[in-house]
Amino acid sequence: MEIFTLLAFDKYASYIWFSYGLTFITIAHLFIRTKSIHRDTIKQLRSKYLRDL
Amino acid sequence: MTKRQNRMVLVALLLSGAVLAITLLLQALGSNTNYFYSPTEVAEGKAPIGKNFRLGGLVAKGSVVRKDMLVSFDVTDNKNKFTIEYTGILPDLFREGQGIITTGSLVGETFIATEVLAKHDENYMPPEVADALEKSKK
Amino acid sequence: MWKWIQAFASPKNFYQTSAKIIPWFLYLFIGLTLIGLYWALIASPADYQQGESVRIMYVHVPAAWMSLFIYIVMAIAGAIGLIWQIKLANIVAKVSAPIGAAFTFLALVTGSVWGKPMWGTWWVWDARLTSELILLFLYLAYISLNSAFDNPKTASKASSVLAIVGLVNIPIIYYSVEWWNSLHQGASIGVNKVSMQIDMFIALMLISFAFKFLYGALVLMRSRDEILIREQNSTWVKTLIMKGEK
Repeated sequence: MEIFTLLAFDKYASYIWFSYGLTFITIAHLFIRTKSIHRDTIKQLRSKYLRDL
Repeated sequence: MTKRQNRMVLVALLLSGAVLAITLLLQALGSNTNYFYSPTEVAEGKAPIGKNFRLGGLVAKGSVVRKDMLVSFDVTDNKNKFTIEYTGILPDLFREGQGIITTGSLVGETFIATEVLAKHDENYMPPEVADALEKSKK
Repeated sequence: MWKWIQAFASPKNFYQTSAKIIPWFLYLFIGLTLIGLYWALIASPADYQQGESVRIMYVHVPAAWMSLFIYIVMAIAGAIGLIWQIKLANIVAKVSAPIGAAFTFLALVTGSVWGKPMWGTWWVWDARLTSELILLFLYLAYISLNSAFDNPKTASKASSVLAIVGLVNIPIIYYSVEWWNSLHQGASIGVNKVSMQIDMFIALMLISFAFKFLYGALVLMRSRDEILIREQNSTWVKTLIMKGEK
């Protein structure tokens, strides 16, 4: 497979893939965290309004 | 003054105060913030001789001699040069003509290094382009 | 003009408008990232000195730029909030901090991973690396100061002052490589210079714009939740939540 030999990046492969992997994980984490803040906010406000009814 | 103007003045004062503090701090630090000394600075006696310090410059062409794990080479800034002796693994960028920074101390005229770091410049290009540039210089 | 800005910056209006912008920012982020990855990993050449390891630059440099960019946005928004007491500005400043901290962390770690094979060390205490580490601490101090107060108004005031004072660190980071002898090299991209081959430059630009749009989307998303909390006593939020907004 040509693409795999192309992406092997000789002796720096581990450094390169670690960097891109960490970037991906950090962005994914930011995204998931944003989503969970949204869910918690809605839940929290809804229960507050229901309590106040 | 209105409240808003008051707050503006407060922010401006804070900012200028911080700028002043940092400027003074930097002045006080002066050359101590320099990460390394050049061979000329060492020759002029600016480096702490007898203590550990960092020496930075270019690896002189044709000066690298390897004996097993011991490497010796000259570091130059094109005015002065010092001979470095180092035992250990060199970074991938180490080569003749490369900028390096080495930590160690001066023993007589020889700099005994405990660490050798390679510096690279801000130019990025593929090898073919670098070769072409090199050829056009000659 | 002033009226118009105030109308747009009204929390309710912002909440509705931002909902339409977020998906576009996300599409742009994903699109630019995919093209950017192709350019960074496949289309661009290896470097004449650093070989393949130069590819780390395409995440390291954009992340480092974001760490500075987000801090400047945060400090300016904080100053606007402090002077004109615009709620939205305070919200933007607050939600920017964790995103900026994440990018600063990325810049530091990817730089370290790049430094090991090239320089021969994971870390040195030179001016550039040290000032970037201080930036991370500034973000963390901002976040903890902001969450130290129960009253959001007091929290915004205190943390905005910190952000504005910390702004002096930004030129220090940027010029550190010129002012002092450092191990870190100088800037490759300046106002009128690009000391980089064109394919490398394209890869760098694609990923940095991708990161900008990601930041835009995340700020809008997090700001909307912050608005709901701060406006929880107004009728429009109540109706919105009880209607079953997701």
